[in-house]
Amino acid sequence: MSRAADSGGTPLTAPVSSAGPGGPGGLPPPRWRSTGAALGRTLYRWFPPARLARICVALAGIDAAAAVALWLGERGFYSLPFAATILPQLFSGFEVSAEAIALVIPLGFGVGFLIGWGRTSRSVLLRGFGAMYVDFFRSMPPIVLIFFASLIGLLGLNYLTSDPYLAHTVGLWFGAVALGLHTAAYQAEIVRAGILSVPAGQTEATDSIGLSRTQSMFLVVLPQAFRVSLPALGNEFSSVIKDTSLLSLIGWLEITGSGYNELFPSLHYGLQGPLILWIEVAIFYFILTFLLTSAVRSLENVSRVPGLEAAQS
Amino acid sequence: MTATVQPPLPDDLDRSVPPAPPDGPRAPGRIRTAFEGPGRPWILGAATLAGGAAAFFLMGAIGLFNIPFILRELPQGLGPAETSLGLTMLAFAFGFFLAQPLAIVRAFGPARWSRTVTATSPLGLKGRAANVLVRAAYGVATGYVAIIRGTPALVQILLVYYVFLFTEPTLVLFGESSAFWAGLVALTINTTGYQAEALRGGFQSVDRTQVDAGRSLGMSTVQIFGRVTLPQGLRLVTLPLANEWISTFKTSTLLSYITILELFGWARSSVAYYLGRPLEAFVILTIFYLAINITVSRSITYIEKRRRIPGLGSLAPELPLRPARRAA
Amino acid sequence: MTVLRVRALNKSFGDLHVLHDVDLDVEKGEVLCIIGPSGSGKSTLLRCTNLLIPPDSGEVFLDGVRVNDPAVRPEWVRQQIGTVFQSFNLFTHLTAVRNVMLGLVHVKKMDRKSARVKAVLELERVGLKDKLDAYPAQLSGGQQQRVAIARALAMDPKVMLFDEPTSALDPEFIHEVLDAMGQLARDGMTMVVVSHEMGFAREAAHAIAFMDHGRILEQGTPEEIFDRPGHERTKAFVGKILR
Repeated sequence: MSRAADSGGTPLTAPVSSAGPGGPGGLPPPRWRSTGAALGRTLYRWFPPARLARICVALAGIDAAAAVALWLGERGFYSLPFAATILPQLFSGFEVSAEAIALVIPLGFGVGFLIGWGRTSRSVLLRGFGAMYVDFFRSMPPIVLIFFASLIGLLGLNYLTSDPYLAHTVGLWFGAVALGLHTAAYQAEIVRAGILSVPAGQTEATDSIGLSRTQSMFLVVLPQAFRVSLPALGNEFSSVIKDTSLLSLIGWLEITGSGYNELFPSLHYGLQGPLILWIEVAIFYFILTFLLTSAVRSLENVSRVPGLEAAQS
Repeated sequence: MTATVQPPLPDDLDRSVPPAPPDGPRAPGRIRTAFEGPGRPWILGAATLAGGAAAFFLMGAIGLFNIPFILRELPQGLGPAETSLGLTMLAFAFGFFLAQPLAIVRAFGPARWSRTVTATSPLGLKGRAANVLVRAAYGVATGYVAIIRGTPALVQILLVYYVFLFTEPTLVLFGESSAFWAGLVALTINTTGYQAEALRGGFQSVDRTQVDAGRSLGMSTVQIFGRVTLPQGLRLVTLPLANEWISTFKTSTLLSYITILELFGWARSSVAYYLGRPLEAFVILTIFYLAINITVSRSITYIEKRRRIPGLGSLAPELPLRPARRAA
Repeated sequence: MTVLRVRALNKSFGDLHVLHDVDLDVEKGEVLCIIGPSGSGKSTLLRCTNLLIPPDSGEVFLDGVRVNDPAVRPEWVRQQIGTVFQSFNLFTHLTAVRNVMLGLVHVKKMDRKSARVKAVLELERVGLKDKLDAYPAQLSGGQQQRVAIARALAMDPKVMLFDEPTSALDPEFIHEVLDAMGQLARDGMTMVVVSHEMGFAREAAHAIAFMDHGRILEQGTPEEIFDRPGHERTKAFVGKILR
């Protein structure tokens, strides 16, 4: 946004960015050149060379592994046709997983943010509630929360509605909500640690220029806290992806759930049946968490500010 | 002198000024933390316990669940709880030992190894062969950790379970069935990956100057690791490892889905389904898990704080230390 | 005209009585240096003045308005009093120019374009025109402190408070900050400076106040305080500092 101000005619606002060489005699650089430079810069920021190299190595490794797997299949080490037939099922499960993730991550982040913020507030009530929330949800295994939320939700809804299908569907979503509240407790701790990591001098400075408490929180504390806690949040998001597999245990047909559906046919092939099945399921999750981790890394690169390095885990 | 200019209208929200605590103008920044400081966790623990008990009896009193039933069934859960705890502790202990080499290789992988070790090779390996070996070990360790951390524990458990089911369906060892051993193996495989990562963090965050100091005294690489890096690193990872224990304990609930009758499996099958009391089953489980996990985390935090060596920090996410504000 | 007037200010932290009935007057355009040993309450006095710490009792007037009054918003007071901290306290996540812009946009409600123009002007004034887009971590201590001065200056304060602005700096950067402060003083800014830089105090200050144990023991022109100190403790302190 500050770039726009550069074009103002005041001599004070001389160009300050390093964007491309200034044309001779003060002429602006050709437009395509600056666009190209901007694009190059952006690409460079998202994919610095070392990272690019790592990505290439990882892709080559995946490629090689796939080739070896295929070769083994063709040699009859395992049943390639079976491995192929379950793939479409898993892909449809992948869509359902995406639905669950799309509910759980925003819900967990929203609630977690509020609880974490509340835990740094001056109100004893908010802090106490936050502490109890975090203690409870961090102590309970997620499957217990998911299972009982969906079971009790389903039983409760049976009183309210005579439509068993509706009750069942809502029961399923209750399980996902329970998972969201569980991850919220972890995210609350991350948010709290991030807020507390902002040195006291920063809020002193906002005080001294007359910003209000809310302004100080949103303009200074949270932007810094966000950068510091980004890696931890990325970790937590990938935990969420893995935890959505638990939803299969209450009847979601997501990736693991569709795997369960193929379990009976797979037993036909002896040990290799379930082996192929679960390895393929695991590969789906591995790719999902890998993509998420890469996205978070890129976000870290883009939002990196000198002097605000994220805490390494 | 009297006020001659009318100040702008007050804003009720932002005017409140907190009372100054005795130890300084204000607590760090404007943000104070709940229940931090020596002895405070116990206050919070007592308050939580009292609040929980009050909520428990209140909800019982309004008929949400049946308190006598819960009190009657609670002792029945001790056996399954023992299974849960036993599996967790065994898996955690095995994992701890298996994780050491992984963590060492990951922490002092190819880059550092080649720089520091070629001069004084601890394993009697020198030059290129050692380098290739270390690189291979690093790749294997990294791949293992990535796979374990990148896939759900449930899928890992199912995979191991079906391998056992097909290869050793009738195995009985120490009076335990095949499923039990499958669960133990799966849990160990899982926690090894996570513990390796926690330990690596600890080893790597031991200050490099400490290693340099050791080397300047003429200690060998192995000596430096054993006498400097390991003791400091283990101290640094106390809290992360405690978190990992709790995490393993929570993961052990999934073993109920491979026919092991642990705490959750018992509550689900016999209390929720057989006796038809899902709410009570949930309350019983809550009591068990809160009691165990909060006790463990509070005790470890307490011990870690008591035994902390000044100047040697902790890796756990906790209140960052800030310089005390000068009083004048 | 008295810009800042402090009357009978008291502040204690627990049992520690840090300020004892402090009275202080700062005229418009005056540069007042507060000197004194560590722990004498100098910084607390500054922090009570801009209400970063609420005073226990006493009165602080800014341009005739009593500011430590529940009816007055502390934010309103602080935006008229610029503060420069010992540890700079620049916003780590913002570039130099956006550090200066933040208060203009969100407190003074200027639009971004004119806020930027003003921010660039202020940074130019402290000689940092070429560091507009640098992050604080990319600047030296002296440069950071000059950005902090520009940030406070941009709010058009009636008084500027300097809380040991050079104490955290490496020796080679001290002079650039003192130069900026001297320029400010020549421009007629009203300044209250807590500092151990006696050279600056002698050259730029119009008045010196000596503080010890929470009281202002002596106040006068630099010549009076440095050359003919009246109080025993002033004598001892000045003797030690000037050697």
